[in-house]
Amino acid sequence: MLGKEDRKTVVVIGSSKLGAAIASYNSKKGIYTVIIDKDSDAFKKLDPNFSGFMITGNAEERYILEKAHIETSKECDIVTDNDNTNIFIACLLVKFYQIPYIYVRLHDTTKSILLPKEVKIISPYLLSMNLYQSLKEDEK
Amino acid sequence: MKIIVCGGNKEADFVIREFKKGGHRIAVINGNEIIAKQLSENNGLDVILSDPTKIYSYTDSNVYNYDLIVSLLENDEDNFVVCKIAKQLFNVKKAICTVQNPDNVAIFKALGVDSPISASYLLTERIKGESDVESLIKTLSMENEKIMITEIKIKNTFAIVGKTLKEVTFPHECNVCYIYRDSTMIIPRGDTKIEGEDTVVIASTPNDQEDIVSYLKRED
Repeated sequence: MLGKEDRKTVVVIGSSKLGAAIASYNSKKGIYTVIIDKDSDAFKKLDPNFSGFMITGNAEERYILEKAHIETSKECDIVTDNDNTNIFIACLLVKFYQIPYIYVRLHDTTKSILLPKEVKIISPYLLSMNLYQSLKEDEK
Repeated sequence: MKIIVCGGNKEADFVIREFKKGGHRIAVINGNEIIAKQLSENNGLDVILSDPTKIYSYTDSNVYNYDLIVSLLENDEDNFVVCKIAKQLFNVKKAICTVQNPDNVAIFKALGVDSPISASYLLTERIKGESDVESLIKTLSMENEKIMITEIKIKNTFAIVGKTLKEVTFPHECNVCYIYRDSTMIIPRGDTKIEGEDTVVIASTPNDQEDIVSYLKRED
């Protein structure tokens, strides 16, 4: 099995605003980046200088994931706009591939409990709430 | 048994009706207002109008420790989440769901869904089953697959050619319904002889079908 150091690729699933931004960010840093989305139009959100790979297809299909060389990737960011899709893909990745870092965006934080413990959660709700609270504290 | 039925439309209606006939206790969760109302009216039970992929739908309907969940949503990943919520958080013993993508049958099983059902997967399995027996054999199942009607074309090389039905000892109980020869139908009697190029139609149970077919096809 590959060690963490041998793995370099970042795979981004879902070219949402966040997905496109994450892919553009990694690509800019010189990291080999692959982004997957069902809709090729979604890649328009990528930075014009994005130099990674774009794969049009359904990331719930294992052959699409394998096209992106998911099995040798270092990090996978699952950021489609659908929580249930994200949960399903996260469970699938944990079960079938040994990826060191998996990040999942969840809108509905109550569903965090459904994700395997290997997965780190990005919650827009919690982030917004934290920001709100700190803004409130600044008022004082 | 205590059963939860999630999502679906006509198929949900059918499933609920059948379970009700069996005297099971059923909880129905459906996110579509019109369908929920129909299911409720057709089956005379309360339908919880709520999104089945949300955890609160189950907390509200108090479905802890149910025996079975049947998830009939359109999207595979929604069905996956429903099964996961039910099993992981509400201690439901068994999860059955429909899947659109036949590849998901194996994946869902690996991820803990007990019975993912795919129409196209079943269809393919069925076609494989049908083509196992050579093309000169056609089968038809009746009474929910309890009776098999097998049509077999007799080749001249078969050992059975020239024998009367009386002389033929089938490996299992079965009935030769008719023999089709030279465009006429012969209702067989004990002294009817089987000839090459005959088409013989036999009724049997599905378990015995294979043995009967291989018996007929013997060439020695």
